[in-house]
Amino acid sequence: MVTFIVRIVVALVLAGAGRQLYLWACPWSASEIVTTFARHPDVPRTQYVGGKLGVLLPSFATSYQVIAYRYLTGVGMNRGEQSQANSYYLDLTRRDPWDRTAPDWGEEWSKVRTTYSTTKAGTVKKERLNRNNYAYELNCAADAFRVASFTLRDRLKRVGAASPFFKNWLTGQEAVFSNCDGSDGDALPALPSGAPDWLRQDRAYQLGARFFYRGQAEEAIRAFRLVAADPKSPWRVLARYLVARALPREVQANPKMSDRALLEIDGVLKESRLAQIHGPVRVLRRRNLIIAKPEEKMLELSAALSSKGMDLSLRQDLWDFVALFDKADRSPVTRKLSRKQELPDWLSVMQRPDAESALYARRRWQQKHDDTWLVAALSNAIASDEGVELNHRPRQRK
Amino acid sequence: MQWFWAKSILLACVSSGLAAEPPALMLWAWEQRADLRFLAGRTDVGVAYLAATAFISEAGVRVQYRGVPMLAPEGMFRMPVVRIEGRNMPKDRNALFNLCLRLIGDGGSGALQIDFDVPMKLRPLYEELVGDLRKTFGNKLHLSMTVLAGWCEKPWFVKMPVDEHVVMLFRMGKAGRDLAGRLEREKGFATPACRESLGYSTDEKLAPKLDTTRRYWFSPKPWSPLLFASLSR
Repeated sequence: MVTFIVRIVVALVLAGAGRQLYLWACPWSASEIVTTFARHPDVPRTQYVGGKLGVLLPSFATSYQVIAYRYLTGVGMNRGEQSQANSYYLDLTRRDPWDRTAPDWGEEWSKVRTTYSTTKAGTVKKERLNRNNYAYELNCAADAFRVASFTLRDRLKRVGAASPFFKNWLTGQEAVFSNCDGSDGDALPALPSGAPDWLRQDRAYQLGARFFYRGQAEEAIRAFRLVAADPKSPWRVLARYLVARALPREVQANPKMSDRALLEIDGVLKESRLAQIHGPVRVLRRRNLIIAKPEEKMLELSAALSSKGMDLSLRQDLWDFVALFDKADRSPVTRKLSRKQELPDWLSVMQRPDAESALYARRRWQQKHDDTWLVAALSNAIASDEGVELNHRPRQRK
Repeated sequence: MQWFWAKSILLACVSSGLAAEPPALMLWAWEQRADLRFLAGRTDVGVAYLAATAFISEAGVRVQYRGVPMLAPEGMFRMPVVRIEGRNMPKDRNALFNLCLRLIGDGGSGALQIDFDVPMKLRPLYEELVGDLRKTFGNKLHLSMTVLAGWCEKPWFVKMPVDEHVVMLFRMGKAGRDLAGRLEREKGFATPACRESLGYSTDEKLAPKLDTTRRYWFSPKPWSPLLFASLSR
C-alpha cells in the first residue's frame, strides 16, 4: 500500500514538473491565452474612445483609426466628442437602425390599414434594389408611414369608415406604398364623383408620392410643384420639401444634377416662410454634396475630424467620412487625392500593408518625426526591412 | 388573384428554360463591400452574395437587406443568398417564402442559396420552405443550400429537393480538427450529397482540398486580385 502511495506521489510530482518544463519552453505563460479582435479594439470601446488605445492594428475599422489619429496628433477627444463617438458605435451595434426611440411607423400603418382595408393585409416592402450594385436602399422611410397613419385617422374622423371618399383615399394610399419596393406598383384609383376638396388635394399629393417612390423624379417634381403652388393645400410646405428632396435622389444616379439640386435647396433656404423645413433641407444639402462631390466633401470632413471642437457634429461627420473613405476606390488617382491631407493619407497607408506603403510611411516619419507616422512605419515594417531606425524623438507637446 | 399573377410574372421573368448552373468556382460576398470587377471576362467564376438576412422569432420575420454594394462585372454569374437566423418558429411562415420569391426576382439569375444553420425543431419549416420553392419554380430555379459539416455524419437533408448542398468546411468548431483529419484520410465524406460542392475560407487551412464539382470561397477580407490569386496556391 505504501509503495502504491509513493508511486502516486512520484507520478504527480513528475506530471507537475513536466507541465512546468513545458511552460518554460514558451516565451510567455501558456496558461494565459491572449486574443485580439481584428476589426475593433478591446471592449468596452469606451476605454479606447477615452484614449486607452492599446496596440493599434492596421486591420481596425476606419472609425477606430480616425480616433487613434486624433490622439496620436495631440488633438484628442474631449468629453463631448467622446460621447459623440460612443453614439456612433451605438448606431452601428444596434440591429435596428438609428436610436429606435420612436414607434415603428411602418408597423403602425400596417395595423391601421388592416382595420379598414378590404384587400389582403401585408407588410409594405420599404426597400428597393439598386440594380447597379445589388444593395437595397430604404425607399419609404418611417416618416412616410407616420404621416399616412395620422392622415388616415384625420380623414376617418372627418367622413367615417363607410364613406366612399375615405375608401378611395385608402386605396390611393395603398397604391402609393405598393411602389416602395421599386416594382411596378398599383395605379391610383379615379376620384369618385363629387369628391371633396380634401380628397382632391390629398390625391394630388399622392400622385407626387407615387412618382417619387417609383423613382420618376421629374414627374414627382412636376406633381409636387403643383401641390406647392396650391395655397389651400395642407401639403404645400411638405411638397416644397419633396421637390428639394427628389432632386438629390436623382443626383445619385446622375451627379450632373447636383447644381440643379443645390439651386433648388438654396432656394428653399432663402424663403423665410419655409423656415419649418429649413432643418431637413440643410441635411439634404449636405447629402447632395456627399453624393455629387465626394472627394471634396471627404477632404472637408477630414479637416474637421482632425481638429478640436467637434462636440456637436463628430457622430455625423464620422458616419459621412467613413462612408466616403471606405467607398473610395484605392486607385492611384484617389491615393493622390488622399495625400492632399494628412488623415486620409495616413489611413490609406495604415490600411494598405505593402512595400510602397512601408517605404512611404518610413519616409514621412523621417521627415516629420511624429507619432502617427512612427505607428504607420512600424505597422508596415517587416522583419527583413533594413535601415529602420527606431531612435524616435517624441514631439514636444504643449 | 393578384398574388397568382405576381408569381406567374416572376416565373416568366426567372427563366424560360432550365436553371443556369453556377460555375465551378464561386466567391461568397458577405456583409462588406465587394468589388469583383477585376474578374471581368472570367466566366468560370461566379458570386454568391448575401442579399438578405431573415431573423425569425415567435413574433415574426424581420428582414435586413444587403446594405453595402456588390459590384460584379457584366456577365458574371450572380446568386443571391438568404441567411436565416433564429431558433423559434415564426407565426407568419409565408414571410420567408415571400422573401425568397423577392430575392429570386431581384437576383435575376434564376438561382438562390439558403444559408440556415437550422436547429432540429425548425427542420420541418425549412423542408416546407424548400418544398414550396421547388413546387413554384420546378426546374427553372437552381436552389442551393449550405450544409454544416457535422450534418454529413447524419445527413437528414438529402431528401430536400435542392440542386446543390454546399458543405462548409470552415468555422467547424471543436470537432473541426478531428473531422479534417478524417476527411484527409478518407478523401471526402461518404454521403454523395456532401461531395458535390464544398465551401472553404481564405483564412483557414484546416480542411483538406478535396475533389469536388464546385468550390465556394468565403473571405473575411474584401476580395482583391491578390486574394483571388492566392486561391490557386
